[in-house]
Amino acid sequence: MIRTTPPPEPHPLVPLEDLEVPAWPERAAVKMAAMRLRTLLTRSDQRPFIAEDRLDDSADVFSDMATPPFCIPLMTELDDTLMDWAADPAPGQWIKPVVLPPCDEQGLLSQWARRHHHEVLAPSARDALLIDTPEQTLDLSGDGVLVIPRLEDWFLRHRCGLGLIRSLLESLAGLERHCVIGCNSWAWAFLCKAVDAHLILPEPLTFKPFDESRLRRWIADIVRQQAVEGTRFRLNSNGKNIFALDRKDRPREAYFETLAARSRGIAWVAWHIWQRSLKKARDTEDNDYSDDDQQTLWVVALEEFSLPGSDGTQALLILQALLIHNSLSGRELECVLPDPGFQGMHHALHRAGFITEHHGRYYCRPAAYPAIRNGLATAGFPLDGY
Amino acid sequence: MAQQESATPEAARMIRDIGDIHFGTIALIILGTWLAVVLVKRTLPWIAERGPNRLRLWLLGAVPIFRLVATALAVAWIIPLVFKVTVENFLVIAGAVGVAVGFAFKDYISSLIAGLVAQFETPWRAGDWVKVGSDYGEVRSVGMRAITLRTLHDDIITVPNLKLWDSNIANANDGERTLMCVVDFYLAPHFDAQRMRAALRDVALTSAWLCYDKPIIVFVEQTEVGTHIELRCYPFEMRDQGHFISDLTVRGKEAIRALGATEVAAPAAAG
Repeated sequence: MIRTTPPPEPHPLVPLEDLEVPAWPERAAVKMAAMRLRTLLTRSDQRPFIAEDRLDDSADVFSDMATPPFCIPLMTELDDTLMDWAADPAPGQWIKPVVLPPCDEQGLLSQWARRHHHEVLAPSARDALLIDTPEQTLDLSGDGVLVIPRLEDWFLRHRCGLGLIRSLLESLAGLERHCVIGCNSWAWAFLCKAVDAHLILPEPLTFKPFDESRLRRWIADIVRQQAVEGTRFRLNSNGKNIFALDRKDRPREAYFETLAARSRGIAWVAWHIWQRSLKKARDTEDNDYSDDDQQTLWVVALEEFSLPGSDGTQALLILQALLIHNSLSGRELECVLPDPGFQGMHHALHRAGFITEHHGRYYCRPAAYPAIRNGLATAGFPLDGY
Repeated sequence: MAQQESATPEAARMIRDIGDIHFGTIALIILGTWLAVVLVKRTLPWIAERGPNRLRLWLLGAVPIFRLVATALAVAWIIPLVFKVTVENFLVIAGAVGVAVGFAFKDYISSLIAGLVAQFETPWRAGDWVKVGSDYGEVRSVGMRAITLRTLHDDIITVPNLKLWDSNIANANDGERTLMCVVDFYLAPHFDAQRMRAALRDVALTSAWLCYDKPIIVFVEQTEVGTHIELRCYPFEMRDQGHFISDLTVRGKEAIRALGATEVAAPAAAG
């Protein structure tokens, strides 16, 4: 079945305001609502919230597969949208802002720029952002396409941390050079408020969220390339193949529809959730070697993790700060948080699996993103547009 | 005298015969209504505390409405079980009860009526932040006789609805999910006011508690004490107003020091 599933078709980028995240399948929505209600009714105010919401509780998550090349379908979409524009010597719009979904671990736009040998403009180190320097004008002149991969690297949410992004936007306002600006959706929401980015830059584009069909075909494509020939993926609840289609080429199981809704159509979030849901059977007898299958991987039901809305404010403030900045060091985290009493919380979040640490910097984990966003939404935090 | 004699049998005709009145049913209606009201009164605020923030005010506001509707239904159900309902009977009973109870429980009845009026005028709703007299706090519950406020110092204050008649009631959010917080700074007048406004605006813009959908205003005026600056902005969750104001105050002071300005203290200015 996987062998016959075609790869996803690329879709050009869409305006951010036209974005529609995939809807939940009815049955999954009811089930999730019931589970949330149960969580709400049984949650104790006394327990430490981290303990019950751990993400790292499954020991035998199948993780043999390499991190997939997310960039290939998304880069194709960037190419489809931007190549003609980049080749036009006098385009109607010199600047193309691209709002990216959060938790982009691979630096999609940087990779795209490198692939096409475009000039990349990187900011100075974050530490330098807090030095109160007089207003500076950035020289953005040159030939070819200029790419600013992460606008979120140009500011810190600190009273002295907005100077550089203001200078950059000021320079961009009159720029007559092809320029692609990447910004994650949480940073974009903040920058629209803080520095009126939406007034200075043109309307941003974003990737069309991966719906059930694109997600199924994309994951099937990766599995075809990476998994052992003949591997079957079956739901542990009923043993049915998750890639199976009916006579009308519609999926028999709602797994990918649920996955698309849970991940809000974000490819890398969906991938990480998918990877977490794969398990090998512990005993060899559990493996099904019937027909031409060499191995069966069991897909466990997608669990709903939730952060508390009322008693985890410290944790939520850290997670919100990380989403806005993409990544922060421990010291930067202290600078952007409102209260000095946060020292221990990011360690707890790290242990619990909501955030990850790489070279001394903390990031929100893509697999935890749906839970984090839901927690922030429940507590009333300002949200992103993706 | 003759009128009194004729009124007594009329009153007797208004009330059903003792044997026809189903006291058991009446007791069940009262008990059922009381149980339902208590259940809703305990459950909805409990869910509101734990559930999504956007539903909190709606759930809290549903409690007094439910109680009013349930009480009205119970009364409407009981009256025909006790009285022979006609327009004349109704007027006679209402008059008699009004006079008797009005003298005995004047303030209590006034509070009840004020509570009823408050349901429609909505000077406060559960979840609102109000100031009644000198008391400021979040409306925790709206009763028929009184409301309870939880202050920023975590005190619970019971305010009789009677206050509605003769007190000014300041409602900080008026049913919305956020409210304006104001942080005051008094500065010695020799400083760059434009830079100071911009710096304090950045203090608000970079607060983690900030609501993105509301404006930020930096108001400046000259006073006898010094230059008065008001930083007006909104937190995304009004129960965090204490944190929000503290955050703005602490970082506002840093910004003032960084620009070389000096805060003035009232005693020094007076001296």
